Amino acid sequence: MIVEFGHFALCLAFVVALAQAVVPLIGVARGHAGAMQLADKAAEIQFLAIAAAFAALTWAYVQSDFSVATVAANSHSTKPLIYKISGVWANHEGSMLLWVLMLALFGALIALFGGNIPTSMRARVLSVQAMIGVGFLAFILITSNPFLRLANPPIDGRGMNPLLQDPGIAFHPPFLYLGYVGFSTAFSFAVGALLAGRIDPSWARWMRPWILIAWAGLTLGIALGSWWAYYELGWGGFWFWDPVENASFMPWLLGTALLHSAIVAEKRDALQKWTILLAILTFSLSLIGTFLVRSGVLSSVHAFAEDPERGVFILALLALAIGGSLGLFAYRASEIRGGGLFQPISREGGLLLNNLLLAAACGAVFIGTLYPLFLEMATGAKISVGAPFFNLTFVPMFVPVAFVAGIGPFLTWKRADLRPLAQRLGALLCLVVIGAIVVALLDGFRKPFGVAALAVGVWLLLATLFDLFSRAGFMKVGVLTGLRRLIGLPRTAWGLFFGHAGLAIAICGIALVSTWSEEAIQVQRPNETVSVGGYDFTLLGVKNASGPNYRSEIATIEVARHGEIGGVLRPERRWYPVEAKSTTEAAIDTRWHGDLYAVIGEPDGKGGFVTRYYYNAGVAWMWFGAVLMAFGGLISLTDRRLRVGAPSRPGTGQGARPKLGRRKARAAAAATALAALAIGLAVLAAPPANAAGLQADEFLADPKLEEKAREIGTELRCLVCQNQSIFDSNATLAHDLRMLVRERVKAGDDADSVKQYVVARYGDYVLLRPPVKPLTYVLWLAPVLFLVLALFLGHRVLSAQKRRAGASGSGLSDVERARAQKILKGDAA
Amino acid sequence: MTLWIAIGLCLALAVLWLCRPFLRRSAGVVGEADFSISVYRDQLDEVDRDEAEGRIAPAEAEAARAEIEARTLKAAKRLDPVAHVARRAPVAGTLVMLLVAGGSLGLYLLLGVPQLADQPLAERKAEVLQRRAAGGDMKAQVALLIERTKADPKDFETWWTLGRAYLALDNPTEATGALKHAVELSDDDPGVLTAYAEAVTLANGNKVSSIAEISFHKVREKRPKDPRARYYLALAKAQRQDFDGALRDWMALKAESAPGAPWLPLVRRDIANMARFLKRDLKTLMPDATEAELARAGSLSKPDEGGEDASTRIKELEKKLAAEPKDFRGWIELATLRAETGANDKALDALNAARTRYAAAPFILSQLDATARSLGLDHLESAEPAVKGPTATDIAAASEMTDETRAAMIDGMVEGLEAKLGETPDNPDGWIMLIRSYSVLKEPGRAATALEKARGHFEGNKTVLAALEETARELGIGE
Repeated sequence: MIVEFGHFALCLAFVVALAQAVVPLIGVARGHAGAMQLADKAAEIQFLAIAAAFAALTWAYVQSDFSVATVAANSHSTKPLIYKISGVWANHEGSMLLWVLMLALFGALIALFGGNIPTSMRARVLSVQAMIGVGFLAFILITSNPFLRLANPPIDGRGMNPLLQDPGIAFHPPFLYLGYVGFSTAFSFAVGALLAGRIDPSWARWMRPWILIAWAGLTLGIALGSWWAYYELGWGGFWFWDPVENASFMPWLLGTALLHSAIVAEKRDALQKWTILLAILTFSLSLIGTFLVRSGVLSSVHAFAEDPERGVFILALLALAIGGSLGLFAYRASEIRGGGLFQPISREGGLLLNNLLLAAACGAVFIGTLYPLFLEMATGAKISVGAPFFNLTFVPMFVPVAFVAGIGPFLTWKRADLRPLAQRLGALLCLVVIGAIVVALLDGFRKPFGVAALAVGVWLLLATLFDLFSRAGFMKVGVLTGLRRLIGLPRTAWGLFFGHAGLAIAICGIALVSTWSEEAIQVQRPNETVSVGGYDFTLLGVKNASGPNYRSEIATIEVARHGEIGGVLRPERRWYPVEAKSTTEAAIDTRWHGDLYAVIGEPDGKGGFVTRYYYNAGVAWMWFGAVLMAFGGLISLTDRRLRVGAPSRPGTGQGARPKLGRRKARAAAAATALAALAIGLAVLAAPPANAAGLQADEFLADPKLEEKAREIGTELRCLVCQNQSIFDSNATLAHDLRMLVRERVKAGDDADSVKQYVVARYGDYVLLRPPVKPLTYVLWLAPVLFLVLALFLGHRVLSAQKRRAGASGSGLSDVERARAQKILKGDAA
Repeated sequence: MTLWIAIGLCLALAVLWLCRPFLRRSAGVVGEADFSISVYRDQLDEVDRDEAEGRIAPAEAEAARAEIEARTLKAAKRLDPVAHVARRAPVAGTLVMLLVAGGSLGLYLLLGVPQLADQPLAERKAEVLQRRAAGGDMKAQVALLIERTKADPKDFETWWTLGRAYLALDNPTEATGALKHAVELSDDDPGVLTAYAEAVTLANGNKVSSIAEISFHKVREKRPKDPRARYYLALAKAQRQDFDGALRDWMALKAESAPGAPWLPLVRRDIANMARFLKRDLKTLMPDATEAELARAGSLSKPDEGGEDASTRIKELEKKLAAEPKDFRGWIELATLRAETGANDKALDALNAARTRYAAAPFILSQLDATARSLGLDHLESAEPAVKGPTATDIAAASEMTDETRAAMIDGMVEGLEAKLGETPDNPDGWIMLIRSYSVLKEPGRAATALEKARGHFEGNKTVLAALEETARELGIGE
């Protein structure tokens, strides 16, 4: 009964979404307020109905109701309760339900807390939101219905991928979806504005809180996802540029740009077209991400071609949403006119540059993610695009963003003077450059790029701190007043501080971990000691244990530094009999300067165990930085200016809304976070299970040769993984390839001939940095093209500004100003 | 039905809430421009604040104000003061209500399976057990039958099947309980009663208790020729040391049984044992006796030769066991030989010595019991059940034992474990325990042998091998 009620609730949600998509627009066209307000009610009902469906499905999982097909396929009666619950969204059907739940949640929140948005605008926004909902609810009901029943239920389910049986994954997908799907609001606001045919600064302000929530959620989601990969996959890697990761990273990049351009649109009435376009594109990337992950096109292009029902459906939705909105944009673009003027050197100019670079960097990720799929579909040729490609294309475009982000806050709106700026920041810049040179010298110029990245991170951090201090004005007004001023700063200023400082710290972390980490693999016998990064790891012993649905081996490893015992690590290797899979549970000791990371592998049969130890410098900074960024987003959200209440009119009895609005908005932020936590997880797609174990005895004796083999190996892909290099994978095939590379290196081959040798055997697919040849010209040229396009676009915006600056006069007459002031004081009708 | 009530209620609430805006009284709605203007008002406040705190220069502030004012005018101009009025629209509202209600119900009827109830695993216990039972899982069948007896405790078939299932699982104690119900429900059906009495006997360590005896008598009242009842009543006589009576009854049973009757081997064995106890020649009693039966009865054609051989072997064994008691097969052989040479009491002594020694090794105890039974030596014991495995008290007592006794007991345990693993080697924990035990007993050679055996048996099973290696490493053996 409960399951069937859930099914009915889902049907109800679909029909209500239809009403929500159609009726309010009719209301707007006819000027009928009741029909517009139906959007609010419909959004609330739609959310409640989907929540009921979700609860019913959760109930089915908890009770192990195997008459529900998805439960039978993805759960098992022996699973611990929490993973029965997380199992709800650890599969296609359930995660799509979470997707629409999030979508409806945002709709309901806009209905409940969007009192400051004009009724007709809210009606349009909610209608667009409902159109997306109709599409995806139809997708669920037609192709991925989680409530399909089995006439003859099996006596037990088929279990869940054990990699997902981990509390860390519990926090990852809800946040990811919060962000991913949350950008639907940006899309709805953009399309709503296009439907209305006008964009003004207040529009940007109405939209901003919603993209802040989405952005903060996505930031946390990505961070948690990479953290999970870091400790669960057991190779110390945290980001593999695999398509699933990119699918969430692309909306983040454009969403970050959107967040900044919306500020310009709001404050200065400029860059509106660009803001609208970004809003559409950001959510389009979310949709493309959903397509990539949910159509099955990633796991195999051929499987997709053979069973294309789901993929084609999403593709059609994608085409409709993106094509429709872009078409509308093209149709309406000429009507959108900006008001604010600015000079190239100004806060607006800085934000524009940041936007364009972010967009171009996102373009590089986009082409790197989609081109291999496209190529395989079009020609059947398989290539891989991995870290080396993105290091060459994405990083050079992103690092300037971070650099400019340090300067941006010092620029004034409209027109900024470079000379005082140079005086203020010059010393700081010199300091950072000198510091970087010293570090590089101490390091013997082995890792110039790592030092440069670190320098940019440090620069951004110092500049951001400096900005905060100069806002407080400690120099001018003294410490006490300065502190008071600091506390009194608008929350958005604090949001800026935390956002930029978080990014700075994250960049430092990434630079540190990719430059100064150390690792060691070996067969270790009990009481033997291995040194990594100045720490001595002693294997004390390995014992057996059993969990609720797995058996495990737990090693006890003592860590000492300079003979002083500093802690104990207990890495685990688990075996899940139902799913017949094993997982590694790395033991991590996080210290402020870096992580000690230990993994236990298979026994060698002679009393020894394969162990892997890492010293990962600064890796935790990365996640700390990401959390700080998300925190910055939420701090901004509490800024009172984002919650200017709905206007009240005498006689409507709607006074005192602003206060209510504030409390409600705070409640909304809390409720969103809570809902995300409570709902828990969904999993976009799981990285491959590590079937084979770590293997030892593979290192070359000569450390120089080993380093060389490693350098070559990071450019070669593990053929059965998602974009991991052969030095990042447990797969047997990766091990074989590693051995092959080492053999060739030992035989004296240079890097190119080793690669040629491997390519001759496995094809171009094995190269993470695709070769430059006719088939890949597009791939390699596109990032450059994106950059050129971005610069051209920037040029056009600036020259349009120049033209208009020449044309327009001073603006309002005194009479007009007086009238405006009267209106603003609230006296005018 | 509950489903439809829930759906109806939910649907009614949903459509009413949905269409509330259509049905409300007319009201003026705030003009659209006001929303924008309140934003600009706020922007103006911000500019004022920034200027007051010196964050922006007065000239900048003035320019910003002018811009905001321009925006305000634009907004005020574009939109009329009161844009929309909410009117009551009952027709449109009803239409939407009907469409939504009809649409969602229709869609659900198209996709859903309203008649299919939830099937949480807890409620499907019976079905799950049935499927397992159908797959040959006796334990599942028993669990299933227990469920069924709870549902219908007056059903004879269920109790009867449950009782027999317990017997098949070698659990006569539980079988007794189930069969008792069956007896009551069947109104003392002789077939059921026999099964019950037999179960009682088995549960009592093959001692025919008074309850069992009364039951067997009842059976004979209805079915005088019932072979099972006759067999056990004879056994009862034997257990009361009435060997003559027992022999008579068994001889009669044998005479009246068709050749090839399933109980015949048992009867013949017991006749042979009786012949031995009574020192009668088996050949006259049972002309078709086999060599082995004759040996058991102690009436081999050339008793001297056989006796000579046997007594030599007995002496040999006694000597060997005195020096090295760790050999339960030796003890069994000794008991058998002693019994066959007519020394029944001494045979029992040997068995009891072994029983004490192996008090903590249930597997060996059961072998010793079987020997006693097959030799009829159990008739010589009191009606108390034979020595059982160690109870909690025994274990507690072990701590008060002398070191020697304790060592002997532990030895026995270990030997029992090894013997058991010899028969059922699929027991990784057992092997690990055995290896550990030998190590504790300071017998590295045996530990290594056990490790080798275990390795051989679990070849290819990485998990178990790893566990074995770990044990070996920890104990420092098998290198």
